[in-house]
Amino acid sequence: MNILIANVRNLESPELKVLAGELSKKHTVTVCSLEGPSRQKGNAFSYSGFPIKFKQISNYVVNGEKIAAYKFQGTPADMISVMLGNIMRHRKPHLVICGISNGISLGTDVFCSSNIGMAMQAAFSNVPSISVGVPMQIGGHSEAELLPAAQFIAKNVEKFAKAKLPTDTFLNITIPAVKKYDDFQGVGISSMDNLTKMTRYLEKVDCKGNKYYWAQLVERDTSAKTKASPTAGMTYFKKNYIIMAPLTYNCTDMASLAEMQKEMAK
Amino acid sequence: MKILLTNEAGCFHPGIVALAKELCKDHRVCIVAPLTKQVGAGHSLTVDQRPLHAQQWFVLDSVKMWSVDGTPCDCVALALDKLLLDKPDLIISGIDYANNHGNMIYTSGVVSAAVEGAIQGIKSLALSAAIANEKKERCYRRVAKFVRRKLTYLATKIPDYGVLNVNFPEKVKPRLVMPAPLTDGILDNEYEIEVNPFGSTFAWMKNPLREFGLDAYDQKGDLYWLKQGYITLTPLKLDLLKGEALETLQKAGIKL
Repeated sequence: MNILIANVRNLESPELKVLAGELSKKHTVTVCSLEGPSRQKGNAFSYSGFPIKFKQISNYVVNGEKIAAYKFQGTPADMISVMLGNIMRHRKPHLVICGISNGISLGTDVFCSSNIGMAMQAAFSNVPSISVGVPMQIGGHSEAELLPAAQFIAKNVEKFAKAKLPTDTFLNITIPAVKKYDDFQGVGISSMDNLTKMTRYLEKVDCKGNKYYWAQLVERDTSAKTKASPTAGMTYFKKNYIIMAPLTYNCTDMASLAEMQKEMAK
Repeated sequence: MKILLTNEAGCFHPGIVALAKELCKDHRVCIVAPLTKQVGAGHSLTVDQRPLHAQQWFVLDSVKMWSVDGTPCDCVALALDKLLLDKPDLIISGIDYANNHGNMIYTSGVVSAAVEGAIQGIKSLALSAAIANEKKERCYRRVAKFVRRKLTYLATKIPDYGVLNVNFPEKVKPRLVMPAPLTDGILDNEYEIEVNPFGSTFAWMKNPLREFGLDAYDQKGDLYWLKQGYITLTPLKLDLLKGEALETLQKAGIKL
């Protein structure tokens, strides 16, 4: 299978290396990454006026073999768009894997997550895509810590590509941090949890007396507002279950729309 | 009503100024908008790269105005957490000078700012108008007048924990209003590769307007009705889970 792995950290990050290492044993892998970290970029896009700079890396070696690698300057969605719209235009990948990201996207985090933004961009181009995340650890995870997650993806990669999900759908896979593969308890399919991150600010004053604000992400339970029943997703995730959620980019609120249309018809 | 205005085109853009001038006649309005143009900012937030700065301007009478050196979503989050003394009853994002329909809502800073407002629990509206000449104040005034007249109606149509995305066609006819779903179209961006004199490679987008394929017009979604000259209202929800796909996924047999 022809697989594209996209990452927002950099080409040498263990998240990318370990996943490429596992997948390239059986499949043709192309990797791409942004230069430097690019957190919370969502679906940001560089429209005309700004070209996107990229470079092909000729000596990127995984498992002792050279694989095609590209590094980009731009937004995560730009990178996927250029990869699918130009570089891989005539040999479209069977699956785009975004990750492994150092941090998971729950609830409404999916709107600002760079990893989800990339998976959604691939879905816009009608290419099956998955977004993979492990709980955040400051400074990142080591290759050994990420190996079980990469092994799970490598084992099921063909099933992800052939899952026949609707064209407007992509998968968000949340993997718990475990020491070895046997520590995983199972795989669950669950809705997005209502636990989400809110942006709050830390106010400070510089030497000239001007205020400035550092963003910080605070976890909040929004189940009261969404009126949704609490899902079992997070409970199982804490018991070392891998949680998968099929997400769509078509976010029309059909119930409200039908109500409005009925009213309009009157 | 206490109303917070934001946009992606910058705090001095005629779209937001026209809206503020019109709405301040009957409401308490304040503007917190990006200092510079943020086209295609989507839902990006400035988190770990640098801190944000906010500056207050005294341009319009009876309208408080701040500029933030960040994205539209930064503006909404910072306004709600630090800049505003009390929470607004409504957030209005816009008026944007191009329509945000179909999949384009995700790359649009205007719709994303409204989504950020909804995430924080405030009723939010996103307004975008197809305005050929971006600088024409007259066109924005016409849209702003419509919004002021219909504000109560529009506010009641915002779904709980969601956003109402309103698009205006080139010629606004207040009677032609249509609730419509988002148009689903496959985006096929093409790029042209260029090598600069220093040997670096760049990709230029060939079709920056991201026009959808012809079949997108057959769906009777927002794009179709806009082309027919209607003002479209699209309620958006924040839960992206695809319920219909749960069973398909179960059948895929993904296991340890």
